[in-house]
Amino acid sequence: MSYWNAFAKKFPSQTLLRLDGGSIFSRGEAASPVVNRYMIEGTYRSNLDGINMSAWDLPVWQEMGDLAAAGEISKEFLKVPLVSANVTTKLPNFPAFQRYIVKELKVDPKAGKPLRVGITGLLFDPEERISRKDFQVQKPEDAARQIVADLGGKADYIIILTDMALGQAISLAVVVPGIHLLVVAHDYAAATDAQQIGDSLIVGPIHEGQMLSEVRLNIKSGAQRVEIESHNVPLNETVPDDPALGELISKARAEVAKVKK
Amino acid sequence: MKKNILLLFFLCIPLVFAAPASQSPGPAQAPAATEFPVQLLQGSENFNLAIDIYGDLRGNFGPCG
Repeated sequence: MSYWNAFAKKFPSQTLLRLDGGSIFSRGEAASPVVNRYMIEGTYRSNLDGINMSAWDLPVWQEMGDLAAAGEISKEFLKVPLVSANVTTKLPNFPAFQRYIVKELKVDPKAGKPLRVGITGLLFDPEERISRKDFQVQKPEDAARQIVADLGGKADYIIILTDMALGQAISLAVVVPGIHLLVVAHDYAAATDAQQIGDSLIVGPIHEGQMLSEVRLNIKSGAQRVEIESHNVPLNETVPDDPALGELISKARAEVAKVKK
Repeated sequence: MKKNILLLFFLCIPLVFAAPASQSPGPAQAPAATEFPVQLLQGSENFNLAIDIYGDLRGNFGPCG
């Protein structure tokens, strides 16, 4: 958050999109339920523009929906821009999510009309660990093809967030043209350079929030001419916390320490 | 040959089980940063749209702060 505050101060007229490739939550640890209550609040307060519903997160989203229905967490925290192009569910308490979001951004004053950015997500579950009784999960490739076609007249720039591995993302970029940015939020501990495969720029953020991946685009004439620069921003102890979110994190750490005693 | 290997094995035992001469106090706690390191904002200034991406936090508070 403090990075975004500093960014807005340095580049007050430039538009910034904030995206999360998914797998936000903790799972399988005694402190996970406590951690996740803070993760959902921190995520809500980060004012993101899109969050992918990953296979890792899906059971926790279900838990969050149930907790909100029971009045254990604020329903407000579930009002986040969760997206998935290939998942549907009829579970009554499951948090609301959208197939895609289209943002109209004024990026090029000469263009006269805004740039329409379509943001969607693809959940990757090749081993079918997600309950098919509660969720319908379409094959990522089929869903990507369909969503690119659906967004054809509605978006100038298409972003897909996914938890699939880099190799699968490269194949997806090859077989489904028309994806401009493919965000691969897999479990990667090392930084990888952004790579252009066909129409798609593939970017993989580093796990556990150690680095932020930033793509700077100079877009002219819709998305017909785009200059791209990408880099990774290390988020270590040299970056001060935003005061409000820093306080939330301190509170979370204190509560987690109590659980771990 | 066998004798030499056995000798080497027994000579190494004290090295494996030896207690450290003094206990390390551990890494010093770094003071909390107060000023934003502006060099992190470096990069192309010729842009009209920036996209910031993170993912796979898995319960680490990371960029929330």
